[in-house]
Amino acid sequence: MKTEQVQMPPKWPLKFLRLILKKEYLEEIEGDMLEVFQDDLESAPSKARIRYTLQVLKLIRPKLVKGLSTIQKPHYYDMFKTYFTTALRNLIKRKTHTAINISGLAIAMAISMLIILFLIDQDRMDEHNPRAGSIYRLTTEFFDESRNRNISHGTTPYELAEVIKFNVEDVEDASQIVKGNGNIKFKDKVFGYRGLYVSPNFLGFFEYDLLSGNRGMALQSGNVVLSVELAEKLFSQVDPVGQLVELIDIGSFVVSGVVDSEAVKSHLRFDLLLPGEVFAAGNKHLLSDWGAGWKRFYNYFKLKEKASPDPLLVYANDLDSKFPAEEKALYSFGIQRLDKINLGRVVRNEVGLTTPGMVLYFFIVLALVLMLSASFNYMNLSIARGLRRAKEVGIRKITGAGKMQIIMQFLVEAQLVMFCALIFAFLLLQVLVPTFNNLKILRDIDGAITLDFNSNVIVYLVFIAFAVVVGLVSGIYPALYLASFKSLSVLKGPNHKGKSSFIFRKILVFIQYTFSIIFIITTIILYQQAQIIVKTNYGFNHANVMNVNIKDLPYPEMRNELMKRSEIKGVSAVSDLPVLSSLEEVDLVNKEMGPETIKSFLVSMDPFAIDNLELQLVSGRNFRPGLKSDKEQAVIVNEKAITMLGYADAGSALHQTIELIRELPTGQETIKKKIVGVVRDFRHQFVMIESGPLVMDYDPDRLSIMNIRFEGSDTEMVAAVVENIWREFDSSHPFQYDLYSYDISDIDDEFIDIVHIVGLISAIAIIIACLGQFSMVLHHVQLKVKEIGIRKVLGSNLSGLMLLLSKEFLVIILLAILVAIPVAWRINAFWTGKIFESPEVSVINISVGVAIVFLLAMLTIFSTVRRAVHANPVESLKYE
Amino acid sequence: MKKTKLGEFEELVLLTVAVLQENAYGVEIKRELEERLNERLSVGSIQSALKRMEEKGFLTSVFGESTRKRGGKRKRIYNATPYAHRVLQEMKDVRSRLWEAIPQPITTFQTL
Repeated sequence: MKTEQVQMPPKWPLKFLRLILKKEYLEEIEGDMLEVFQDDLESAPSKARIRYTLQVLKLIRPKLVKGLSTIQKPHYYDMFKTYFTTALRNLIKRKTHTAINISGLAIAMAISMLIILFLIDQDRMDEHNPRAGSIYRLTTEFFDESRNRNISHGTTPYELAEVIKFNVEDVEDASQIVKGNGNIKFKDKVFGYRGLYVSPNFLGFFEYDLLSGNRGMALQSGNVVLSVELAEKLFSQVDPVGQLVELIDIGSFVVSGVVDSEAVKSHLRFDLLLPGEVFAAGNKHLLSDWGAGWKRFYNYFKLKEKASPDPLLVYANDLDSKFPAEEKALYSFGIQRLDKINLGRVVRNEVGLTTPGMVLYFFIVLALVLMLSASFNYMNLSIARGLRRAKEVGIRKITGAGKMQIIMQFLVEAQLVMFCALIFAFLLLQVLVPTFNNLKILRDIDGAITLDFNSNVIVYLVFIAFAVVVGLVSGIYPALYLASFKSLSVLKGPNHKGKSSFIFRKILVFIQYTFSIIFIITTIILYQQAQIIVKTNYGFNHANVMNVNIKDLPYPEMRNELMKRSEIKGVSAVSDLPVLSSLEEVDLVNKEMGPETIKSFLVSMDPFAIDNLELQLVSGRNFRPGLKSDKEQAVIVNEKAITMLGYADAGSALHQTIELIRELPTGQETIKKKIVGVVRDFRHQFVMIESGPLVMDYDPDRLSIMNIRFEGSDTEMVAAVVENIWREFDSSHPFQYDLYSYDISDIDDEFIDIVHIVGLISAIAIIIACLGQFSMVLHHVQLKVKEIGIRKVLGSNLSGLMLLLSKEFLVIILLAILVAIPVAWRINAFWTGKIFESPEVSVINISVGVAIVFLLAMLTIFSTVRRAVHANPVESLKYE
Repeated sequence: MKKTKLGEFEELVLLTVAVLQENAYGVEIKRELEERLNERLSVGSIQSALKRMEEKGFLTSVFGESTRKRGGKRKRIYNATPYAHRVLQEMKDVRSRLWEAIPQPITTFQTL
């Protein structure tokens, strides 16, 4: 039922209207505007709102708005007006300096604003929920003995939800989630989905609104709820609600609602919601067995308003633990508030992707460094220029200006510069945002940000506040310094206080250069690592390999069929894809050497994989197809495993028996295995992780992915061939394939994005430092114009003069280099050691970085000095 | 003539007010003028012209009725003063006299 309703125009223009219009005209004009808006709604509904806003702007006319004359002028109005005019005149008079200041500040501000936008956006996650502050999630803290610290997991045992809901007084409600992806089919359309099995109260608990359907009934048994995106893909024309869809391998369901999951930012990501009972029915053993099930269930609790979560946590930890007896001591529970899940501590096994809080600090530090560097420039220049304005200050003081008024004058000047910079920064931001949104990492974490004004009014206020703060920070020292001039002494002669301020400014430039050098060295090292990644030799051939999922399919028969085709050169199967998937971690023991275990990765493969992926056997033999003893006992290991297990060489390890310990849901399992072959080390992990020991066994039951090596570059054609064969065995699932090389380079791209970000920021840091240096040299030279003239007239040579003028600056840079090298060395050695397999912080890296900064600085200094030295001495002596 | 200071746009608005009689309020004037001029006008331009002319004594105004469409806000009905009528008439006379004074041979341009 639709009642006739007067649609209202956008709110903020109306508020603005009320603010600026003369009171006596307001009623009439507001009515007129509304009427015009209603007319527009009828003729052009899509444009009505924009037109309304434009019309409001066009109302700003001297006749209609409250004139300045009607506002009672505050008594200090004229004073500020003078400050403003003086500031403006000063800025215009010194165009180069102003331009340098504003451009440096604008760049730094733009980057900082981008970071602010990103962080505010990330911080908003889950805040659409009005009760976000009283919803908590329990986490499992597993104590990792080898690292001697707790590892948090977002999941907890199933039973907790119910026990806690009934026994902890403050808990109002609980909701549970299990992740489960799959494929959905409607008529002939099939799509993959990210699914969540949820409690019936999910929609209300997490405050999701349904676009269509009934929220209360939506998650009853036999129903599914789709995201708007998936619904659009599946049902382009039809109304989704009430349609019957098939979830492959699960069953048929009725679509009971469509949820606007794109409109809210949440750490929960899903395309489809299923009633939790579907999962519970098929996985009964996981519900009561903590050890097997704790990695599957997410338990959320809604507390009463303002209740403390402590009783809940204490209760959970006091429960009679049902974890496997021998490991009980390693498990405990932790707690997270819903709105602190994103940008919080690092939690494994998360529902979707979240941004850890560490990223926040990293970005804040970057923004701070840049912003500080730019405000150093401002301070530097203001002080330098202030020396020339000493007379102005002196005269102002003599004619009766108080210290406070002089300070205000300089602060107003700082604010004026900041606002100019803010405007430029804002323009820059328009360019930066789309570039930023295109970064692959951000697409993965749903980090895209918008500059849309309506939803970001707070952001804009933050920007303005930010500019004011930066203005105060960079303006206060110069203001205080200049206001402290003694009027008599400055009028008597120039440069009385020159020396001490010069040292302060030198320190600022020194800090800037130190940062620049550290940045650039980091960039070079990162860049080098990126090169290693791009060019990396994985030690196996992943080009022209197509990966196809074969879970529950008759692999040997499929292999036979595929091998009949001439386009296909080889077919093999593995349990997990080296590099791309996380391999199972196992412990190995060489009993002859002692009881110590070593950590290793485990992959199952068939006998064809070694040839097909072009792994190199250095010793021993491959698995024999079909051989029963091979399936049960044989393993092939890599060279690293041989060394770690304590064998002298590959040959001596052959036919030796080792113990392989697997962590299974049902408990630990120890199997005796015989080494039949040794392969040359190859990368089975992403480059940033060490590819350590690896064990390969021949377990046909675990094979889940087929690698098809094909010939030629026509992937589409090969895919069609494979699909045809594949259809004979499976007609219900959609055929999906991935190219091994593409997926590998995808991971690489994310890393290269990071390199680009850091590279850009270090470039900016250097530019800002050089700008500061440039203006300082320029000013220094200008002060010495006469000296240079006299020296030239008296016959000093050019190189001598150049050296004389640049000496002081050279010293600063050399000092910066001396300090920056060890710091950069330490920092980079620290973090590269943490993430890269082959950290390389070499003398060459560091000297290249230093050389770049040094040369740029030299260039800045000499270009300025040279001009001054080459100037006609007669001209410079006429000066003043 | 000099004292009246009636701009071209103002004159148009004033004429429209005279045409619309008791229906002469902001939006209606805008609608009428838009139709006759065949271009879009903003509320601001009409309103500022009305206010200026009211100040100069060409118009008087009273609050009228309110409608649902206007969100309950009253209209302001404008009325041209006798002074306005006199000025309009004067302007029209001046113009027509000027037109009459233009010498005729404009058509000869086409033959050139």
